[in-house]
Amino acid sequence: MGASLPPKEANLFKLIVKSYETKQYKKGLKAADTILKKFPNHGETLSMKGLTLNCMDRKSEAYELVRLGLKNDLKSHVCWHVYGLLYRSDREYREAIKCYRNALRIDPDNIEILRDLSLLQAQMRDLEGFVETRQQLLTLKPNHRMNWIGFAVAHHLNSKYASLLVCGSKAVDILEAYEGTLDDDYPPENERCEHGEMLLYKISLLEECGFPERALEELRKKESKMVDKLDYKEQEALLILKLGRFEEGEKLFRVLLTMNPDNYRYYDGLQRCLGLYSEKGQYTADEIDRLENLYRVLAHQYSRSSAVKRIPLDFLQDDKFREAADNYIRPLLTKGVPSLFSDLYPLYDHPGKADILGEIVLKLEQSLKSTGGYPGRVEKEPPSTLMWTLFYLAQHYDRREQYDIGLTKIDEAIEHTPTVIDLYSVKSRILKHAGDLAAAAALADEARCMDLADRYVNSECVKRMLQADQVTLAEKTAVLFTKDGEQHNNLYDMQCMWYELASGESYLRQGELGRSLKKFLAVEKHYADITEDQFDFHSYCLRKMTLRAYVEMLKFQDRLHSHAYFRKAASGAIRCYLKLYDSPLKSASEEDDAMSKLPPSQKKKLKQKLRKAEARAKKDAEVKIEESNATSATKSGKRHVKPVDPDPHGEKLIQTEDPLAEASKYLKLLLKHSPDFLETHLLSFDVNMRKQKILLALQAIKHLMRLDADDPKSHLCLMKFFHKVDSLPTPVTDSEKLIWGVLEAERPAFSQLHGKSLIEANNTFLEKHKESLIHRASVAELLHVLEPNKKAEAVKLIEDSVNDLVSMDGGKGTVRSWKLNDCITVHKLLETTLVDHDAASRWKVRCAEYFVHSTYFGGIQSSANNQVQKSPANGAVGLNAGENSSLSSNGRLEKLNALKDLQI
Amino acid sequence: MVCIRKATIDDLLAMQACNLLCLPENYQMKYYFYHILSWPQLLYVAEDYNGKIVGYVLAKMEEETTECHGHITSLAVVRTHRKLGLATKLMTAAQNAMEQVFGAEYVSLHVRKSNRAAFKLYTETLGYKIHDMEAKYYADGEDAYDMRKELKGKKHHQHHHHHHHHGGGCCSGEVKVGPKEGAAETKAA
Repeated sequence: MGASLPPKEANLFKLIVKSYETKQYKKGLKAADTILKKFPNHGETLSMKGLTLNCMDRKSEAYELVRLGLKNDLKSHVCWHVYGLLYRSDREYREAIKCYRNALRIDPDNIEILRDLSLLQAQMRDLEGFVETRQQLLTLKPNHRMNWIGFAVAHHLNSKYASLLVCGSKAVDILEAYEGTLDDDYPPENERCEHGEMLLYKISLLEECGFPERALEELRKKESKMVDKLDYKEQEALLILKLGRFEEGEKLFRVLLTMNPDNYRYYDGLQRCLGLYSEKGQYTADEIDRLENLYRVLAHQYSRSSAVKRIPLDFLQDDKFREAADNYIRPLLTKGVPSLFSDLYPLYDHPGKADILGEIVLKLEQSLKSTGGYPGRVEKEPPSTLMWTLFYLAQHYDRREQYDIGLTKIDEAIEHTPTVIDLYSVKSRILKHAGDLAAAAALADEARCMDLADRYVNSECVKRMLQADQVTLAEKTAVLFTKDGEQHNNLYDMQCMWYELASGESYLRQGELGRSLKKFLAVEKHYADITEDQFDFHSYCLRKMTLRAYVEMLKFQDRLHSHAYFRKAASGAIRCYLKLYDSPLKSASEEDDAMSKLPPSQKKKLKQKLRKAEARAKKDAEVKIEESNATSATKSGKRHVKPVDPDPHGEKLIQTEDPLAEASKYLKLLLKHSPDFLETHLLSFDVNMRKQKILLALQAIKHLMRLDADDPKSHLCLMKFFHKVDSLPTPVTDSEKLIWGVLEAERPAFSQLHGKSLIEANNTFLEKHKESLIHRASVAELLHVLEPNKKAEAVKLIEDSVNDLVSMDGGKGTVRSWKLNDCITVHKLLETTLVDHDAASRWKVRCAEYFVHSTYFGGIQSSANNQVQKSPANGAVGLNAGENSSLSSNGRLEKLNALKDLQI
Repeated sequence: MVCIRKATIDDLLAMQACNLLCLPENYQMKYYFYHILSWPQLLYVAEDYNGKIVGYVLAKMEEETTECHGHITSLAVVRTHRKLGLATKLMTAAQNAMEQVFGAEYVSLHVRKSNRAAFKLYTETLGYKIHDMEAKYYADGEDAYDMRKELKGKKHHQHHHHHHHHGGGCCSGEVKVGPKEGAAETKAA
């Protein structure tokens, strides 16, 4: 390095490198300039100067200098290495790898460059290359522990692509060879943790390669060297279980249970060892008896564990269930455990158990009301027991969609004790389910105000406000808990994804596509950042020896984008782009629309208001930029500029030229990472039909049929697709003919269409699902598409639907078959697709009777219809008339909010 | 009712979500990675019967100081799942691991002066004592109690002085994580 320079300058060059490493960039820069004064064309100095500038946020100069340096000294590995580092700092890993490779061509044994290359290969999952580089590193420096471990891990990772047996075994061999280089008394005291982790990693490898016996043997042989005794015992028990040595296993799991009787996985293990395990929880009568005995003994042993009491409720049936559930519920109501209902919630899916639970708790309620104690007991219960009993019942009826009874129960509880926050949260949830989102938000806000220091009730409230499309209010409320009140970025910086998703959905509902996209893409960015997060750990974990966790982390990263939050974000973004494509100028014209309805005086006011708001926002942004520029010069010379978002409301995002191309980017990720979700292929169909990509749309149809051919949306896509295909002109070009050929060949694969016209196929679908409202609606929609003159028939098909009583949870209880959201969908279909306003309003009237709390249908109990102001302590529904009114009759809400701010 | 078990990588996103729902002190994902990839033994979760994460403890070892000790970075239990003793169970599990795996002599944490419920849990149930007071520890200007609890401290090995060889060099990326000093904050009753 710096070889071509005279001694004085060569020393200066070393200083640049050192300054870079110690982040004293100004010092480095000065040294570089001194050299360049004498040798203005010195390549390596130019490169290093560039690299230094890069750390001082002077990107374009950096690239210029590094490239110039390289041009002046193409034979220098330093210049190539620096070029690679520059790319790496910009996350351009593929380019960086190329640069490193060029550097290594010149200096093949350069350890530093090899190490850097290996990190990038791990990051990019170039695993073959990773193995190769790691091998080279080990050959060059076999006395480094890290190089042995790195080589072994490389082989292990590569096993995903090559054979597990071969690569895994190789990794084991390498680790054992490494162990062979260690002294007998290894490890010294201060490396016991790391060494133990290495051994546990090796054992997990043996198991993964299919050698559980060897794994167990090794585990036991090295017991004294394992520091993590709990982990040792867990591994031992799992290996024994895998080997089918059940008697031994039973003992081990019992030992684990004494250490932590709240770990359900130990109970699973114990049941497996006893031959009493069923994935679906289905047992014979004999097995149930044995399980009952097992847990009776365990309950005696671990009287403080809640698991031993709760698990039997899963397998017990009928009267035994009734007795056990009764015994389980009573003390928890007495204690006032708020999560009791959510704890029992999964039992509502077991046939008949929901009825029994309801009966038990109703009986308790009756007894508490008449005697003040539980049935058959002389002792009186504290008054709170009745309140928690009502609390349970409210949630019970909510689950069973009997919202009126649920609300009665919760109101009774609130009257009993008006100071318990949980009651308001539950009332809010019931109102939400019943379709009164505004009242639900108001209740949640009331709960929030009862404990302003509790972020959980704040979060719940924000969630409800977003569901009620009160985005501005929601944001103001959420910000109460982000550190710096003035810094609204905090939710973004802290990756608060539930908030961004809920906010994005709300904006989308309101047609604010820019703001909506902004939120969805923020979540997408978080996922990209999380992927990026792994980079530093490639070297860190090899040093720390946390190899099992490291390999798990890499696997986690590989499936990161299949996580639900990402799926929601990608699907939201795609829906935004689809809307944007369908009506490019809609948001603007809608605004005009809304404005044109106002009288001229108000119109003027509104316009002024908008203009002022805009100006204010602009000024704010400018101030922020200045502020951040002011905090520049620090010691290192690095400017701590907090970049100001130039497009905070996504206005630039919606100006995209090609929304479908943008949508396709996210669609690709969904197709890759969430191929088993209906939604993925519904979106794929929507995007590809618009792009005229017939074959890709066909793919989507095939997946929809694979996943759920009976879903009404699948049916819609299938029929619309072939309807479209049938209407295409006869193929002319070669590619058209090719597509035609594929369609001809594929069509018979759809059994729905065998020997039937589309109209007939639609009728068959109707016959099969004629009891279901949404299926009828999809048939009606298609009828309108296939035979536009039969609109009246389509409308009749919908209106003839019957809201039957159907049984619920496999028990005696019944419920109306229509769901609120489906009815809203149907209303929109009548209104906007079939465009029959009379039918739509008839539908609305009819649904308002079924859904009395629904604001959408204007049910008589809903806040839309309810102008009565209740007392503030008891659900101030009147407060909450939604955002729109807060804009016109500003005062009240705003003032109230200011008050709340003060309280915090 | 609720399962108390060691956290896995797959729990981290849910832990972050739980933290954001409950507490004002938040961390980026990388900080969670940093914890689990450094001390996988010290992260525990509470998982309810529906498979939802309703509480967690995020803890670490302090390796730079002379005395080997653990530190609770963050502990949370969602409001709906209080009164089950989850915070105690999570804390006990993490403390045991600190002691048994790393030979920690004591464990420390910070708590808001105003957080009476958490303070009560730490002093009365878990046996912590006030060690110091840190003025304006939290971003909003509130003071923190620096609290400590002695562990039995088996001292089977010293943990703190084996990281000299972590040469950082210009090219071996160091792990840079969000807050240097994770602010511990608890909401538990």
